[in-house]
Amino acid sequence: MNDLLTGIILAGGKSRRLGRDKALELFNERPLIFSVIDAIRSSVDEIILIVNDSARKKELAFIKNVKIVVDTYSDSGSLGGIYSGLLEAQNSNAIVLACDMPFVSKNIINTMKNRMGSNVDIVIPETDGYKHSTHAIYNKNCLEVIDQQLKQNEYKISKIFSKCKTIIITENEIDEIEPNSKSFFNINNESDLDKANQIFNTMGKIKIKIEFFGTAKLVAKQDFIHLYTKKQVTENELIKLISKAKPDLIGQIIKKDTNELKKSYNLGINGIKNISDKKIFLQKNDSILIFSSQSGG
Amino acid sequence: MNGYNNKYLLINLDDLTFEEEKIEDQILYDYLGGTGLSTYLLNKYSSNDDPLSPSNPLVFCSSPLTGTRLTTTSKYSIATRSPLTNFIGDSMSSSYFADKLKKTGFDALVIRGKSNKYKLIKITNSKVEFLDATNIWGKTTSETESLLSTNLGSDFSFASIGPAGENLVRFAGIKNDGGRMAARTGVGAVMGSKNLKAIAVNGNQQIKIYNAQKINEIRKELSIKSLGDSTEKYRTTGTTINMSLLNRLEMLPTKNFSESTFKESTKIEGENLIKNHFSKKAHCANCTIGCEKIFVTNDNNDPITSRLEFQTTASLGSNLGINDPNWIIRASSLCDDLGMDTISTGVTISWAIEASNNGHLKEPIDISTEQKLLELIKNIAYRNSIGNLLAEGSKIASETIGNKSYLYAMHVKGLEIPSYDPRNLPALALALSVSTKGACHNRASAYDIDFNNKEIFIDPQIIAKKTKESEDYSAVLDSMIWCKFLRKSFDDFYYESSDIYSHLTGEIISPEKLKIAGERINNLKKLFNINNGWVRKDDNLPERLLKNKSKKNQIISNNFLDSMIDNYYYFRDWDKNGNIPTKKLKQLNIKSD
Repeated sequence: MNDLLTGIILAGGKSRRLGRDKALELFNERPLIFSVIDAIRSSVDEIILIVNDSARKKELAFIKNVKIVVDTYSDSGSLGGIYSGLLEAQNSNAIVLACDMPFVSKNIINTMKNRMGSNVDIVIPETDGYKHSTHAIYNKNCLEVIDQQLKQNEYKISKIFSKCKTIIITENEIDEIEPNSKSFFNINNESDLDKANQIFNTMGKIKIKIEFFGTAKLVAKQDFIHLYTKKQVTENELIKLISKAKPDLIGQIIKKDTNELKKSYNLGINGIKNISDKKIFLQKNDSILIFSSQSGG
Repeated sequence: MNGYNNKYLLINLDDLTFEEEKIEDQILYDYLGGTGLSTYLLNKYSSNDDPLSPSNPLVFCSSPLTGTRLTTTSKYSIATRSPLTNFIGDSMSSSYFADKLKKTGFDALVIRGKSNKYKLIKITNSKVEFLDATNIWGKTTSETESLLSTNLGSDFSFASIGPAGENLVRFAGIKNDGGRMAARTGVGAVMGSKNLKAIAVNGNQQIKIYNAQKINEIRKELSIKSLGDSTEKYRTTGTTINMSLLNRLEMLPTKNFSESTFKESTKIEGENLIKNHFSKKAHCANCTIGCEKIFVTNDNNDPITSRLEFQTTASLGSNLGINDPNWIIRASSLCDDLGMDTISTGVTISWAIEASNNGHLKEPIDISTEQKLLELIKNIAYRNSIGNLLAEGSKIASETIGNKSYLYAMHVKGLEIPSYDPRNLPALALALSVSTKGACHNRASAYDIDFNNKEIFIDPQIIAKKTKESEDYSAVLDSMIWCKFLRKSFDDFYYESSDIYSHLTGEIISPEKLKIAGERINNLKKLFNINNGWVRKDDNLPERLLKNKSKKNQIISNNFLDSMIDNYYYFRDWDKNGNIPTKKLKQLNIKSD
């Protein structure tokens, strides 16, 4: 089979349910579509964004190293987008993704890619009895079937599966590749967005405890807080995290630039052993103590 | 020499006489002032007799910096043979007394003998008077100060004892400025043994400064520095917040050091005191930092206030299993009024509770109500019933009742242990063991070695070297005199101190010579102890702290402590038994006679 793969991202426009542009909705401090682009960048050799019209094309023109293509069949939903993308793709196979999937998994994409043999038209994952048609690989062989369907105003993607050679990646297989995968999670409304942020804040991270003593405790008005952090952090990164969670500490306990504690405070890990500026490795449930550097009394 | 009066007052209470004695420049240069000079004078007049006998000298000493208005330098030092330890007893206090004493024209007072009648010594620029103190004998420290101020005038400053000192409670202190006390090692009992109730001073002679303009510039710079990040804790919350951290680190002495965490510590920790009991901030004489926080009771209509330090909240709190801040405030205020050290009071009571629980004391020690606790404290000060035994301090009391009650006596050399559990603070453990004064956390400030580093040192050699250096550094701090809470405001302590000393006196002293002065002072203290019967086994910690198996990952053990002590003697150039070779004394210019 041809190893090369095209990435097609359906980047329509304003979402009805979210009320805003999903592709450009900020997630992890940048437009959501970048999460999808980054997830597939290493698995594909070209990326095509499918948009509804030329105005939308202009809107997304700032995104580098992608090809932006206006949908041939406008108002024909995802199926039209898949058609336009496949038509434009320089490779026979293309991974099709929606633009609102913040946690697309490279591992799952690569597994799907490996399953795309020469006599296969579609590789599609299925979870909870639902086939993820905008998280699937399609071969150009599908073009004819899709074209026929679109001409009959039949926009249901599921209708093409029986007409093409389709391989399903089962839930069990997915669990083996990536347990509890969030790869198919997409954002339709505010509550999905909140959930995505929650997931993002804990993914690949560990929960640690920040304990306050003395003035820090009085200012924080709390004995401790919990934070999620990478396992490997520097003092600087940790202080930034704490500043974000407890902005009241800035100025009194943490320097205004939020890079470090004021001279009057120490940062200890699980005790009084100080954290140095070098990277440190944290473990789940570690405690970071913020206490006065003046030990007299 | 500029910065000094070059003389001291030698007072004999036997016949109520006094003489002016000169101090050679070389002695001032070698011993600086404060704890250094008072140790020198103590050693000079030491009789090696019983600490409560008339011949034991009681020395009060100012310092070269006293009276210069440099921040935190209005401090005086007391030296005597301690009735708690039989070794050197030295204690310090911040007070206007220091400034006014120096301005009478004397750098120090050496008081010997015993008056037949209760006396008050009144010292002004030109006169020394021995006044009758019968009418104030028996008064509390606050009553005494108030009466003296009314009678002699508010221009005077006083150092006085309360009922505890009068009744020779071995951990009685000397009180001043309405809230400060030279509290440790029983200096108040020595004063009481001389029938001396108080000393009133009011000098206004000018202090000679070699380069006044420069000292004035330094004074301003230092005051600004003293308000920086390096004193943040002392300025904002004070020391009572130490409790929450120490409890978290399992280093909070609880129930006579049998435990290292107190379940109810949040009720008496500084953060809670600040929220629910804070009354106002107080400054010691001539201090810009203002570490002192005055707390007030909130459980009835008769509010009582007290200046609380962490040590008091722990010794009278977690150490006694007491969880009510109101009890602690009233107990502390009572100890202040009676003129008694709160650390030794708390740790002696906790000894008695355990000794009683284990059948070594016939009398039950009941502090289950606040009234009972306060009653017991009063009984100690007046030596009533069981209080008579407790007034001896935990060491002598445990030796008196015998059996194995010594196992619960938490002291070193007789001085009760302050509230840092040394089991996992190795530098502090070493410093407490070898301190000439007994279990004092201030003469080395070695907890700073344990707390303020990137790691906890566990190499006995490194700890010993650092502790020795910290002890010498503290001796210079306590002799110049600076407050310990100012120490981190210096960028280079020895360099800046030598610069200031030189501008003040006109005599150049190099940072290196200052370091040697610190070493000399500590060696002289040790020599005093050796002359008073010190042997190596006196440098130790109570068995409980060395053999507590329940504590996981405990650093301190018998062998570990011994190894640190061996290394400490090595870095001090002492022999293996901890004695000072003649060569070393010579090298430090200490005369051993």
